[in-house]
This record gives sequence, structure tokens and C-alpha cells, in this order.
Amino acid sequence: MKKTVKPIKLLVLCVLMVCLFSSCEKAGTELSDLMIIQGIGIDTAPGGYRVTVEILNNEQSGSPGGDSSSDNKTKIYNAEGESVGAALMQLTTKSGNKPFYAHNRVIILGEEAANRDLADIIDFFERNYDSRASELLCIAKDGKAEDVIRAKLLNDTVKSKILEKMLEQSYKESLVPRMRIIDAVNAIKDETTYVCMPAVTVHKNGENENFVLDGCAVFDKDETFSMYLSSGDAEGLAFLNDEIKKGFISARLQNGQTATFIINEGKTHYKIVKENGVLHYKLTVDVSCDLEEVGGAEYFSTEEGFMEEIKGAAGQAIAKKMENTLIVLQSEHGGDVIRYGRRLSLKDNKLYKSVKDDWKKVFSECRTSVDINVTLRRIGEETFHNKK
Amino acid sequence: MTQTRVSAPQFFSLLYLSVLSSIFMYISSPEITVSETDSLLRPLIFIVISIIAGIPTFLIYKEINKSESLKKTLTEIKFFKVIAAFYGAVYFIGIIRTAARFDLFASSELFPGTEMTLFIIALIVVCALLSLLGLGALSRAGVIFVVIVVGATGFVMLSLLEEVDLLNFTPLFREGALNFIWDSVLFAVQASEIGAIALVLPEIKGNVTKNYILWSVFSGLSFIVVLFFVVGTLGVFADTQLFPTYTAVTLAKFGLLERMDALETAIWILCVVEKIAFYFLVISKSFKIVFKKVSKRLICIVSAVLVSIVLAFISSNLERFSFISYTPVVLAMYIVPVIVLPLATVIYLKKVKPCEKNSETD
Amino acid sequence: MKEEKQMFLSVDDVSEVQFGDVRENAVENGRLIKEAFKGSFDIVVKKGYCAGKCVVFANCDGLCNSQKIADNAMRPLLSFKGELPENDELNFICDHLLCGTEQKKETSLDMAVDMLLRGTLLIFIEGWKTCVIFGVQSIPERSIAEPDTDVQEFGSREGFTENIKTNLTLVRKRLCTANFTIQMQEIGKESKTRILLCYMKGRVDKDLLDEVKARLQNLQMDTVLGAGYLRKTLDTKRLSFFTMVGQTERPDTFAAKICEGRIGIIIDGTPFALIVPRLFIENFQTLDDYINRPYYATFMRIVRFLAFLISVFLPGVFVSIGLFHQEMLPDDMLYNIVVMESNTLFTLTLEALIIHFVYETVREAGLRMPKSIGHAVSIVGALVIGDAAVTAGLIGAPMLIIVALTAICSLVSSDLYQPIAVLRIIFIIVGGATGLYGIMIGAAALLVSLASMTDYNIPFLAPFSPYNKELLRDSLVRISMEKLGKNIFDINVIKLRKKKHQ
Repeated sequence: MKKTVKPIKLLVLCVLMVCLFSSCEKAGTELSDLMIIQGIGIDTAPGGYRVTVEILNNEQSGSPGGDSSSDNKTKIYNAEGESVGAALMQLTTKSGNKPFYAHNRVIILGEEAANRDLADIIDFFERNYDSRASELLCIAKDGKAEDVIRAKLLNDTVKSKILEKMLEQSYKESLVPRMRIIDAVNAIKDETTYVCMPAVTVHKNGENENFVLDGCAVFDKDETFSMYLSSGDAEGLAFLNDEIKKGFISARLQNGQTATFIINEGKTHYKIVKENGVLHYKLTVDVSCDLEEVGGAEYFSTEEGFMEEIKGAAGQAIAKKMENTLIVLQSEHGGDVIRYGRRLSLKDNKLYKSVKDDWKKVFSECRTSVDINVTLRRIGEETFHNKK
Repeated sequence: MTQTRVSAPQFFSLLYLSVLSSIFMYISSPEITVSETDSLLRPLIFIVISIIAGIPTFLIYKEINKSESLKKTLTEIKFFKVIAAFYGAVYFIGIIRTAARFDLFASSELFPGTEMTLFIIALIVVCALLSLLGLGALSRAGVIFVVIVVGATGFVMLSLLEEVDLLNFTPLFREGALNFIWDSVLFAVQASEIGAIALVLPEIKGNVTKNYILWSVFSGLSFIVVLFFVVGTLGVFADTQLFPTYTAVTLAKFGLLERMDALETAIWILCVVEKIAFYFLVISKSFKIVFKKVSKRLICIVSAVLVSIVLAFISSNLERFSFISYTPVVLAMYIVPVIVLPLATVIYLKKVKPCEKNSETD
Repeated sequence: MKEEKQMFLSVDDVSEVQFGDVRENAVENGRLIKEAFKGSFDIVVKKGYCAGKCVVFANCDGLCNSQKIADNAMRPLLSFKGELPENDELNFICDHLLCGTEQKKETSLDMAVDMLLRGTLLIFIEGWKTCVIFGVQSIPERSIAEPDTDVQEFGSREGFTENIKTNLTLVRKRLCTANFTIQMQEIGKESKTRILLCYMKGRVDKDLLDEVKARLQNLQMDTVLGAGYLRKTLDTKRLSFFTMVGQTERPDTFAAKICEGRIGIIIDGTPFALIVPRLFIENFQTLDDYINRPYYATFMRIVRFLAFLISVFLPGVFVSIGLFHQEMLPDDMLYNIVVMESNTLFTLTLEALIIHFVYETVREAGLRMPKSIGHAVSIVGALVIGDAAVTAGLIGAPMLIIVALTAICSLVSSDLYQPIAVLRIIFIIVGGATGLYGIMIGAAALLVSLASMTDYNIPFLAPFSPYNKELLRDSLVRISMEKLGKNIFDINVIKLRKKKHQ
């Protein structure tokens, strides 16, 4: 009997000890003490940074979704500090609650802040336990991050949530690249890859405002903001970088009509050769798409070559996008945001080692040829026979 | 007291958990780069090294089983008492290392900003008590833990599949083959529990050798799978993170469920509990050989108290943690129990013991 | 080892000698009995004459059927007009006059008194040192009814009663085989409770049987008034939350377990019979599982198991997520919970503890109080822990939902209610203090302690650990009866396996 009692007594004692002692300094955080951050805007301030956070207003009266129309769904706080972390920690004194980053959706950088070192700015989020490595980054084009967070949207909504949805959706539509904290760190750490993140602007629409994704911002290797790619120029990035998810293409046919396709899936294959001292990237893009509309009604399905023509048109449209983007990247910026260097290192590490130190130059000089294979998967509910 | 014997698969599932804990709480050190594709190949070397390193331990019993009289008088011989004391000491440090690493893990990832010392001490006490329930209980529970841990980890890893980016992999042997081998050795020596088999081997029934090899292979393969996801999802980011495996898990998403890391790490704790409890068991067994009259209970309680004191000393200061991943310590923790002690025993049995016998017969 | 006694009412070993042998003088015997009971009014001693010979009847009123005494014993004897054969009166009376199957001759007065208290009629005949024990028992008992616990959907509607004989009959009629063996023992110095050790010869493991017998023999108790009294000796891990001794109120379940090679113990005076050993997995199995189709049986077993996990861990996990791991909740959900919880007075841990305390109190009150006011408690309970507490801001609605869910789940496997109720509270405290990690360490400790339970050399967690493929087919899953073979869940398989390896 005695033998079994002792350990159990000890066990009970330990459990009690842990419970009682840890309650001295109050274990955990009560739910009501949380400041659930949804979005963070980072701007510069004299001598440091100014952060603007959008938080969920959990001090509403009544139940959620109930009669709380008098209160806003979110609140916005500002704080300043020498660094981003210091500024964020100031928030506690402003709201009395503990900042909680786990549900942060986006981090918006003001343009001025982006001119400082990006690595410095995101270090806090890299290190913080709550914050996810998959938080989205974007830049407030020609403005301040605070303006984005304080934008007056039509309804009382969580602005960061809308922005996050826009960023996610545009990435899925292969319109803008996605830049998460982890992607940013990987690009910064990589010797040849440049950071590129979506840019957002606030459009005034009478009284109200709304967000517009306007291309993306490309950073330099010293992790400062360098230039913008317009939204048209950014469209080719997904194809060049093998990040085709979904999306659509509009192609002009020979008779001047427009055909629109939805991309179901796509894959870019790379072949890298060195020709006459210049790197030559041979890209093969396989795209599978559905035909959504063909303007006008002049075509018969029976007509020879019809399929070939619309496929060719789609391919040309894609090639055009890629070409546009490449031209801008290579001629105007020279930054490798499409991970050409990374791919080279995987294919031919020796060659990579010999050129990596002068990568910006090598990249801007390298040739790219594109071969596009379009597979038409479906043509929609309509047959071509009906078109007359 | 007749001891119920433990079947080999049960025991090795306990050992499997123990070795898994080191990959879950894998610490990035400046010496080893995690983010390289090389790290996927290191476990292969781990398998080879483990199988070879296990030989001396198994040789001991081959020698002992040769003579029946030796079996009975074994614990009386002074030499074995010294060896046992060494084993005890090594695994005592083993507990401190494991617990300290868990402490670091817990206080940086689980409860940042919370005083963890009491929590860790509670963990130590619970493990010490569990070790009193015997190897059978630990091993039988181990089988269920393996199912839980592997199931949960497999689930999380699968949901990470879409996050894997092939561009995160790097060319092989970027730093040269020699570097790779050295890194692999450093990786392999984490499995210092191999030496502990020596103390519990008589309690295990079934084909131990076969199960041992299976264990090494499975452990190695599990490492490969885990590291594949770590490298594939994180890329260079892995090097910036203190606990890369954990960071990879934070990225996992499954429908509405995000941030399953808390649940996942909670499940990993099962590994830590099993490992520390097993080490306590080993300590109590080895010191039982040294001090015959002292009960195992007392040994456990005393060592738990000592470990707690040491941990309380380490816990509050980051610099004191450094000895956990200090390379000579890591190497010694492997070489001493896995190679030196078993080899010394075997040599003693082969050379010294027959001489004594001969002199007796003369 | 004593010779095995299988006749039902043969109690030969009375521990103390108080009266000695039956006296030749019949009246003296009657007087002794009267004195022994200090003139208790229910002990009836009646003198009469049978063919001129003095005969004394003694019985305990209330335990026997007076009509039977009058018709089958008194009338034939007292109205006998013939002559009794010389020197063979006793046998003549037994063989020719008494009408009844249950009779026995006894020379020890102590034994006779013992039998008197079991409702028999004692007949002393002048000049004989032997008395006749005549069975006329009519011990008041409840009729066979459907059991309240252990309810089955498709099983039989019969349940054990408090009468040991009825109970045995209920089992016996289900197991019409000579292999079904019953041994009787008496336990309790004062209560002298009869218990029946039932097992199936050929299926039961001999070591197991010996061990159970030895344990029962070592039991030192004054009274045994319920099945649980025997747990003390049948369970070695007394401090564990779980037990390896099963309990059932159903003869069909009892019979099934005996067929599986287990040992059943029927105890006089309680409708609950014990079964040893019981494995952890059996808490999730019911007899219905074997009646239902395999897919449904498997489904229900998994549901029961999940319900068990939920009822033990959910409140603790909720508290720890709420306090430590808020990031695990999707943000909309977190927001809703935060808004609801921010109006409440207590911390999450305290809230969970209070509401569980209230729930357990209401449950206990519902169980103990007179049935007639049962509804009042449930109404008050529903109102107090229900809407009012939430509106008053004492507890949050999410916590209420959690507790309600937990409460329902905990009732799924009624055998596990006791460990569940206590473990739940422990995990709330641990979860509130140390988060999920503390809960997991607690769960690990719990599981290891379960794995360490190996009473009768049978691991409690079998067939999962140690893994046994054969038995796994009827564990959380149940395959079809044809594939299961004749031994549905043979405990011997585990034992045999263990032996083979040793």
C-alpha cells in the first residue's frame, strides 16, 4: 500500500504546485484582454517607424452580429517607436490589451518605409511567436500605409480582410505575385533573387474610397524599394516564375474578334543553355484552358484550323505578356524577381557560381525564348454550330 | 520479483519516439545548414552509422550469454559497477540536455514570455514517476504514442504538401563531400539513446537485432520525410528559425484549421515525455547496479531533484543553454555510451575475464 | 484445496462453533435456538408429535413460505397415523412423509442455525442427533425487470435481481452446458454473503482462476453489501482511475463474458455481478454491437470512443486554447468568442470549474433525491446553468455549449462516468495553468499508467498495446461474426500469446 501512495502523492503535489504557482503571475491571456490585430501598416516617422494597426473591436455591447450598429467593427490605433517592434509594443499602452498577431492578415509598407531596409522591418514578424510566416506583404503605392488602413470603405468592414482577399485572389488569378514574410526572407537571403510585392492604392470614389491593386513594387538587392511594375507589366510574372494558378487571357483573333479563355492550370518548364557567352532561357509553358467567349458569330466549328487558330491566339497573348514583363525587368530594373538565378543554380551550379557575383548584369543580358503549348479543355455550353 | 518482458517492437517504438523528439526540436546551429538538400541525405548516413554503432552494445550480451555463471554474478563485479555508473551519468546529462532543449523550445515557441521553469520541473517529476511504472508500461504506451504522433505529423505534413516549392531545394554537396559527411555525423550522433539499449536488453524478447535495424531505417526515413517538408516549404528561411520543424508546421493549413502548430507540438510532447521517462528508467537501472541497497524509487526521486536543480539554474539564462548544442558535448554524449562503454565491456569480457577464470582453475 | 462444492445450498464450512452438534432431545434443540436469537419474534419454534414421537420445527418467519411449511411438512408429519419404523424414523420421515425436493440431513447445530437464517425449516426428531433441513425458502424479492443501467436496444429485457438464486437461473438458462461451472463462497464475517464464482471450464485460464480464488479467499471484511466491496481485492491498482473489474446488471452480457473465458462473480443481495478481467476497450463495447450489423457496430464504437475523448479533454482543451493558444481558433470564431466572453465575470478556468461543479451537483441531486421532485431539479438546473447565467454575465455562452456537449458525451459510456468526471476537472485545472502542453503531459501520464495496468497478467490496453491482430478484429472495429469465429473475444488469446513469448 505504502509503495503506491508515495508517487501519486508527489504527482498530486506537483500538479498543485504548477497550478498554484503559475497562477501567481496569471497563466495565459484572458480572451477579453486580447487585441486581435487584423492588419498592420508601417510608415516612417522621425527617428523610427510609425505603425497603424487595425484591430477587431471586441468591446462591443451585445452579441456579435447583433444590434451593435452604433459601434464599429474595427478600431485603428497608431504608435511610434525606434523600430517596428518598439512601435508595436507601444500599442499596449494605448489600448490596454495585449497585441495578438496570429490573425494578422496583411502588413502594408508605406513607400517611404519601403525605402528603408526591408529586412529590418520584417525581422520582428520573423521572430515573433504569434505572427505567422505566411502573413502577406504589400506596399502602399505613392502613399502611406496609414492611408490604406484608414481608407473609408463603403461598409463597416474589416479593411485588412478585404485587402487580404484581394491579394489572395489576384495571386490565384496569376495577376500579381504573392509575397509572404517567408518569401521575402528567402528572396533576401538568396544571392540573386529580388523581392517583389504587390502594390495597393486607395481610389477616391466620391465620398467613399476603395482599394485597387496596381501592379507591384520591385526592390533592390539592398532591400530598398526600387520601382513599380504597372499591373499590365506584372501579368507576365506568373508565367515567367512558374506560378500559374488560375486566370484568364483575352486574345484577338485574325478577324479582329476577341476570344477569352480561363486558365485551369499551367506549368512552365525551363531549359538553360549558354550561347556565345550569354545565358539563354528556353521556356516552355503548358497551359490548359477553357474557352469562355468568342466575340461575334462568324465561325463554324467545322472550319479547318479553327481550333489551331484560337489556341495560337491564346498562346500569342501569353507570350506577349511574358515579353512585356521581361522587357521592363531586364531593361529598366535588372532585378531578377523571377528566380532565374535560383533555377540556374539547380540546373548548373558551376555555371551559377561563376556568374552569381555579377548577376544583375547577367540577368539583364540573358535571352529568353518562349514556347507556349495551349490545350483547350472545354468550350463551354455552346457548340460552334449555332454560330451563324 | 519477476519482470514481465517487453516485446522488441514495443520497445523500439519507445526508442523511435525518443529519437523523433530530436528531429521535432531540431535546433538550427551555425555548423549545420538545414535548408540544404543535403540534409535530406544526412539521415541515410544516420541509418548506416546507427547500425554500425549498435554492434558493440549487442556484442556485450553475446559475451555474457556465453556463461551462465557470469549472468548471475555480473552485478557483483566492480568493473561493471563502474561501467554502470558511467551509463547513469551519461543519461543523467542526457535528461538535462533533452529537458533544457525542451525548455528552450517551450519558452521560445510555446509560451513566450512565461516563466517555464516550474513547468519543466513538473515535466521532470511526471517523467520520473512514469519511469517507476516500468519499461513495460512505457513501451506499451509507446506503441499508442507512435500511432498518435505519426498520424498527427503525417496529417500536418500532408497539408504542407501544397506549400512545398521545388525551387527551395539546392544543388547537392554545395559545400563539398567532406563537409557533408561531417554534418551527417553531427546529425547522427543525436541518437544517443542507442547506448541505453545495453541496460534494458535482457528485458526485451523477440528478435532484437532485426527490430533494431528496422528502427534505424524507420527513424532515418522519418527524418527524411520531415526534413523534406522543412526544406521544401521553408527554404533558406529555415536557417533563420531556431526550430525549423516547428516553423514549417506553423504554415500548415487545412480548410478552416490554421495554426495547428500548438496541437502538433502538444503531440510532440509525448515524445519528450517518453524520452525523459526512459532515461530516468535507465538511470535508475544503472545506479541500482552501483548501489544495490537503494531502491529505484529513491534513485529516481533523487535524480529528478538534481535534474530540476540544474534546470532551474540553466532555464533563466540563454547562455547556459549553449552547452546543449556544443559540438564536443554532443559528440561525447554519443561516443561514450554507444561506443566506448560497450567496447570496454566487451574487451573486459573477452580478455580480462577468461584470464581470471584461468587463474582460478590453475 | 477443498473439494469443489457445486450443490447450491451446501454450506458446510461454518467458521465458528457455537452450539455444537444437534442434541438428541428435540425440545432442547428448540430451546437452544430460541435462546441464541434472544427470543427474536421472527424465529418460530413449534413442537408437535408424529406417531407419538416428539418433533420440533424451527423456522425464521418471513424468510419462508408458511403455506409450504403447513402443507408439505407439518400436515404430513403431524397427521401421520401409521407407525414409524424403529431406529429408522429419520429416513422414513425424509423419504415418505416430507413432500419437497430440497432436503438435507445435518448433524451440526451451528450449520442448521445458519440454514435457518437462509429461510429453511429445521425439523428435530426426538432421539436423533441429526436434523432435517427442509427447503421452504420464500425470501422476498423483486421480480425480474429491465435493468436501469447497461441499457441495450436489442438485447434481452431481463436484468439481475437481488436474489442470488434467480440470478444464477438467469445465467444458467443461457448457458446450458456442463462446462459452465459455479463455485460458491461465503464472504464477510458478519454478513456471510454468498458469492458465486462462475466460469466456463475449458475456456478459463487456470492461473487466472487460481488468482481470483486466492484473492477472494484473502479478503477480510465484515460485511459485503454491494458488488463494489469486492473490487478492493480484485483490483491491484487501487489508485488508478480505471478498473480491471467489470460490472453488469445483465445476464446476457454476463453469460457472453463467461463464454469469452472470463470469471463472473454473482453476489447475493445485489443485482450487479462482477466480471474479471475487463479490458479498457470493453468500455466501448455493448451487446448490441454483436446484434447490429458490423459496419454500424464499428461506427458506434468509434462514436463512443470519441465521446469519451471529448468528455475528458474538451473543457480542458477549450480553456487552454482560450488562455494560451488563441491562434488556433479561426479569427471569426475567435472574435465571436471574445465578444461573448468579454462580458463575463470570471476567468475561463474558473468559469469552467464553476459550471462543472454546478452540473455535477444537479446530476447528483437528480440521482439522490426522491423521484417525485426530480422534475423540479431539472427545471431549476436548466434555468440556472442555462440562459440565466449567461444573461447575468456569470458565464459565457461558448463555455455553456462546451459543458453541455461534454455532459452528453460523458453519459455515453456509463461505466466510465466516474473517471471521466474527475479527470475532466483535473484537465481543466492543468489546461488552465499550463495550456495544451500540460494537458498532453497529463494525457501521456494517464496513458502510461493505463499501460502499466496488468492485473492477472493481462494488459489493460490489449489488444492495441500489446498489439494483437486477432483480437483487434473485435475492438474498436467489429468484423462480421463468420470471420470472428467461435470465440468472439477470447481472453485466452492474450494470455497464450504472452506465455508463448516468455
